[in-house]
Amino acid sequence: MAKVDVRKLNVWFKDKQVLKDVGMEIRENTVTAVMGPSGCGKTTLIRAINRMNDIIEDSHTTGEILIDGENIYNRSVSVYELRRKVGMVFQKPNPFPKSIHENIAFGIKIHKIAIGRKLEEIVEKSLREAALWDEVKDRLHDSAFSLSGGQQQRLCIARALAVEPEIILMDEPCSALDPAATAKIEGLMKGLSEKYTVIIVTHNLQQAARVSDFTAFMYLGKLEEYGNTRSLFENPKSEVTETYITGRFG
Amino acid sequence: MRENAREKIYFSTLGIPLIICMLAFFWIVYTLSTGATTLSWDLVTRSALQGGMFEMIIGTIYLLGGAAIIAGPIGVLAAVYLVEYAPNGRLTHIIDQAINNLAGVPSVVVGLFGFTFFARQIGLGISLLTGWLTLALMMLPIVIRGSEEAIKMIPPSFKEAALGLGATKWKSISSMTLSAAFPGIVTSVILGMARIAGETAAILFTSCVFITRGLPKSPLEPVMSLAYNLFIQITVVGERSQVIFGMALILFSIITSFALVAIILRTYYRRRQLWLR
Amino acid sequence: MSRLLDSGLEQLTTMLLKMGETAEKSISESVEGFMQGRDATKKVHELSEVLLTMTVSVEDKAFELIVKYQPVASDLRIINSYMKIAYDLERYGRYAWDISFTHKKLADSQKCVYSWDLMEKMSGKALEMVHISIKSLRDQNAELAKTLAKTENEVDEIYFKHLDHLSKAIPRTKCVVCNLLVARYLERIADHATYMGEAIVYIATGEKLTLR
Repeated sequence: MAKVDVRKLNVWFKDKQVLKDVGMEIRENTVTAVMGPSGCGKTTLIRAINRMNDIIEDSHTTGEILIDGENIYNRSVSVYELRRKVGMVFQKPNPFPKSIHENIAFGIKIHKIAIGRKLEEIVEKSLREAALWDEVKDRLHDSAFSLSGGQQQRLCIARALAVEPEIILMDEPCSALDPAATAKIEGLMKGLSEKYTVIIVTHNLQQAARVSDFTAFMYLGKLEEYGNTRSLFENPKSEVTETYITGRFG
Repeated sequence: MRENAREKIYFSTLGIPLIICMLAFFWIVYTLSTGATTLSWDLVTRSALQGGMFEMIIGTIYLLGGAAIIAGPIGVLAAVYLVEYAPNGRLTHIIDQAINNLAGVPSVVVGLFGFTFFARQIGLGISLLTGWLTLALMMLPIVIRGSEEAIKMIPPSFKEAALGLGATKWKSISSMTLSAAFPGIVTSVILGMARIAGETAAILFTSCVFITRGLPKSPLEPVMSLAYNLFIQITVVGERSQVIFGMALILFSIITSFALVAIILRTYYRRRQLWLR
Repeated sequence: MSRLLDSGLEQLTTMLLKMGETAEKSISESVEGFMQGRDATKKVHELSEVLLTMTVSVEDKAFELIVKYQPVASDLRIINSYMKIAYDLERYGRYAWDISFTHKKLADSQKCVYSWDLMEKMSGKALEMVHISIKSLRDQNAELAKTLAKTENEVDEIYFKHLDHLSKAIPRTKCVVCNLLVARYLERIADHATYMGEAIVYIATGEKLTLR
């Protein structure tokens, strides 16, 4: 059974239809890249998976997204539990204006996952998983903003990991970072996929090719092609995909 | 070269109003300080029944403090509601306008309202509580507006991050937005207190009397205040000696210390607002 | 829309087609030299040296395109195949040289064709395959490239028949050996034509066919 099963997903913002009948199955413990030109709906797609689109006024969604077989758009589903299970890392690093420790503890506290000793253990574990522990272990109470951009983004990853999610969504996580920081985060992704299911939106074709097992190509709100990354990049089935990835658009 | 000279002249002239304000400020402080000679620790701590200023000073502090304690939280919560929860409709717009209008109401009118509604209608009489409520009404629009601005200044990315972690809207506001907006909120409270600090007209017939027997034992009792007493001293009693300057100096000092505490708090929290850099 | 990569690909294609021209010329020179019994080594040597230099340039250019443009999909298949094809074309030149040189060494460039009909047929077919391989490259014609499979079979048949004959030949041993080797080289030329064909099919369809 697929970890995430998107079925006939349609999303409108006011009168504009942003996603058209999107359907795809994402396997557990894989890294899936979602790419496409600006405005193709890729961000809307992943935001649908943790229902962050609900926050936007005048948004309307039809269709289903099943996670472990259960439709997350059911009335009985708690959006807050969902967002704990499905974590998100945003394009521009956005740590809270608090200390490094408080940033990680935030999620743990609001979901009442642990206190005291156990909480400290989770904080350390999350920072280790995000490959940040060694750099901050001696200054956990410094402001999160004293970190560099790349470190802040890893902090955001650790923050998402702290609430023990199963799926991690990343919306162009490296676009605001320099190549060295990008490389560090890309290196993380493979390791993360052993424990979690990672879905990443990216503008950068080469990044999609480097990090993902499966790639989805979106175009004008539709899922144009979806498949094994190697095959898609070596021999795409769709003409549109070919035109896009070889840069012949325009 | 001409441009440079011109620029320099323009920018220097911008400094003139500042200089004028500072001169005025120093002149006021100087005038007030002439009354310093009349002050003594003894005078300040002696009861009014014995010619001292004790009850007036404490009364002033009670009035300002109480009003701030009422207007502060209510104002902040109202601001939170207006920014985060209020729907974009007619009703919200009307509420918005009402708040603006309240800010512009002359203090004597607010005092009159306080007298007829709180004192008479509700039956609180001339009391500390009536004073608190009336002064709070004057402080409220400033606290609400200022807090609104402070909350709106919080980058939406923080909110998104909190919601993305599964926080409810309220959790996101209480755990994150409010602490981040704290400096701005404190500033608005300072400004609010500045409005009511020297208020005489609003407390004139809502809470103050010329003399009381000791400090008020409950909020339902009337209170003495420096501003009111000063007013009566000058107009009714006709007092012209240096003592009135002494009283004014104390009033001035109280207000300044309130403001100083608030500014210190604000500076401390502002240092943590690193995302503004 | 013209991309930065396109001018590079154009240059690569031009270089490859030039190589094709040169390769075809060198093979026909050496085959004719053998069949007519004259010394073609000088000309063929020149041409195959040119081919060697051009192979290096093509590989270099292909590498440059990979480093700079990180090509994907059809672009990547083209560049990958072009590198293979450059090698095949260089091999053409190499075998052309081998034929002329062997002819000179063993038969002193004299007329020494054993089993004229078979040899003529075989060399004719090999030349045809070289021509078709280069044509399908120029025209990007995968269908044409696929036809090489059939011709390759025919060449193989003739080859083994010729070997059979040669093994039964009586005197003039040096000439026999010369014929044997030339036949071998012709067969190898045919093989490389099919390799080229496979690479051309891969560019067009992404399939990794075997035409042998």
